Amino acid sequence: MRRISLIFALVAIFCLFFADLEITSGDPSAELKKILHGMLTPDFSAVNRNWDAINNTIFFAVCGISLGIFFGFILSFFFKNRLVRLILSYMRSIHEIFWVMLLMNPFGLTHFTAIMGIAIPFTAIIAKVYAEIIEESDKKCLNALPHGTSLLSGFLFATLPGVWKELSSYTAYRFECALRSSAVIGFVGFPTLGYHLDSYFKEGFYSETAAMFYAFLVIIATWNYRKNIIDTVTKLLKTILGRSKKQDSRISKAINSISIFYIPVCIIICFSLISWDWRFSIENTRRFFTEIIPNPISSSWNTPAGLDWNKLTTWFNEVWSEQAVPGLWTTFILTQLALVATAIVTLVGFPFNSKAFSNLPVRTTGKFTSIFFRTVPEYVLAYILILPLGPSLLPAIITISLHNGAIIMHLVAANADRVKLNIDSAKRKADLYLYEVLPRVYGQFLAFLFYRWEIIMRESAVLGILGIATIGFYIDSAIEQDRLDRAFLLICLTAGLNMIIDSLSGLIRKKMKISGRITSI
Amino acid sequence: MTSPASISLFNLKETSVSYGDFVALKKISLSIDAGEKIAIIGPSGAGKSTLLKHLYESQPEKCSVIHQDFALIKQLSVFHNVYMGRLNQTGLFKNIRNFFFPEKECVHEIRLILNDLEIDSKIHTKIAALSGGQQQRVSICRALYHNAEVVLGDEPVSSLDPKNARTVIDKLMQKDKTVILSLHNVELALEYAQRIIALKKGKVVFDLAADQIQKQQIKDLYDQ
Repeated sequence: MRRISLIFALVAIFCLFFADLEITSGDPSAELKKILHGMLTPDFSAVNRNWDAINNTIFFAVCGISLGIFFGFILSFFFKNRLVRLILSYMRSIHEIFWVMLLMNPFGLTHFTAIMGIAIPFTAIIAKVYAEIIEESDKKCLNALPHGTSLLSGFLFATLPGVWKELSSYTAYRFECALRSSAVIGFVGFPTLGYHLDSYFKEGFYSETAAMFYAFLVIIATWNYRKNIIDTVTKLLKTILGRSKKQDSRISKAINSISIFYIPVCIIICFSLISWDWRFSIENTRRFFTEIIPNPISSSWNTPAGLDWNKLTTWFNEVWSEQAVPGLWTTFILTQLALVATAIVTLVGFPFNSKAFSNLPVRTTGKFTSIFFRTVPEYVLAYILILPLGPSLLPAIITISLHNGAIIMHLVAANADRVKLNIDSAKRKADLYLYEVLPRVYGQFLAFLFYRWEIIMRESAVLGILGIATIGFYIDSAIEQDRLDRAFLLICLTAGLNMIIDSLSGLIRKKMKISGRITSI
Repeated sequence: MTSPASISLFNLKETSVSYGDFVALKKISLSIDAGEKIAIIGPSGAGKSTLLKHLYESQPEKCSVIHQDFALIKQLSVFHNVYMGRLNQTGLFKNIRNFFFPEKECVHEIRLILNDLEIDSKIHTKIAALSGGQQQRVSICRALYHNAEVVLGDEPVSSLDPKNARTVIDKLMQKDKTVILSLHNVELALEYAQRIIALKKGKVVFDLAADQIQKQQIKDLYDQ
């Protein structure tokens, strides 16, 4: 483990020589003061004015994740098939933003595009994680079933009850991710929270921006603390209405029934409220599929001379050398630097979330900070940081490492709290950290870190849309110039790099015999 | 041990079973007829569980199994775990229905079986809330609810107190089925089984009617 850590640290040091970390903006202090003022004086009338955007953010997330769960669950049964695994791996290696940018062409800037943009990658990731959870489940009971039991009956009785808790907590975590994705696709024009965050921020209306931002945090917090909210409501109702034990039990029963059925009811409501105006036309679809094919090929269809290989080679060389190579190289550099920065943030931050190292006030502050950074979409954080720091790799590294570090430190701190310390354990915190706790949690920490590696790469790629010179920058430019063939090739290459990193991460975890999947926060 | 008129269920001739390089059963020959009540005895590692597993695998459609580790779903109720014994005999729709809303007839049928082993009061209790002995009785009920021709039991009373163990073995042996149990408790085996198959180091040491076995044979079996 020490060797692999050292290798990654050395790669990051090597990458530093090629990284553009320059702070390019002028004096941003005046603008920063305005932002800070805006954050402290939120104008909540903006939320009232943009209620539709809040609804859309929730609707898109609910519909996207519902489709993702439905298809992901079905596909998880076929995950052993190599072809299915390859297709799913490709589907999930493309970020939601790239999916919506691609789908916008045939289906327009519609609700359908937004939902599918979330549903496609979520289907792939849910299928993978569900399949892994089911695969790792206890097979004793399944093997004990009478001979001839159908696959579905066996799954229902012998597998599902054992994995239900993990599946549902993972699904809940995914919904939080879907809410983030739904907000973020607003930055490319969809009518969600991100759209208004973007417009208010660009116009300098920071109080309005802050209000929309806080509204988003409230949505996420409501979801994360839904159990506490249900408990509080139950207690409140019992205090107000319950005059006897019988009435109390009726209230509990009613709340229980509501808490069982509210999710399916919400899904039905969301599906019925969104607009299914998806502007599908065969002509648009045909045009889309023609446009994503390299131009020298598609234009040769109408010429009697046929395909001009020279033109095709020139086209490919141009895209490869001017866009793909610099874009992927910067993406790789950012990924490696952000990965190591994430490790540093985690290792420094987890003691502030752990009982073994921090008292209650410090822990509460630590937990609040980590919740904040993992809740805020990395895209939004980078968007804000680019203003004072400029579009170099620096804001991207800070953003990605804070977001991912916050996620991992929370899990590592939970592991650290499970370490049983002896009565004669080291008394000094530094000794405790280095000799007692870190050696015991390090393997799991690395597993979580490598699990996030491909996600960090996807984030690195997509931040290019904000002007950082990763592959996303070139994809965005190609789409803006209506050169879908270039965009599509670049997206495919990005997916390829992502799949390589995913396989490498799996190999390293397997070789080091460490396992850790982030299925809940 | 085979009478001319009886129907032979299992016929093993010079059968060996290996796990990698380890030979768990070495050239075993035996025949088991319908309706026989058999106990397999022998020291740990003799191959008792392997023999049971081999018998099951040779005719899985005719057997129900009482597993040594119970193989119960802790998150489900006693009803559901026993109901699983017939998942292969009922349609998918009925299984789904009974998973969420158990049918009255099924509950009644399962209650009767549970009543036989004095655990019917726990029918709607989750397995996780039961003691080891109660879980073992649920595992036996599941095998009985399966209603197969042959009941194979791998240490089926290991978690029960002596009194309950006797009651359970007695009830199992009274069933109109072929019963083959591996037992550590030799006294119990001799008292309730009609036929004893003794294994040691993967070989059959003796295969006799229970009333023909001498104390010295038992002593020799367990001596190193």
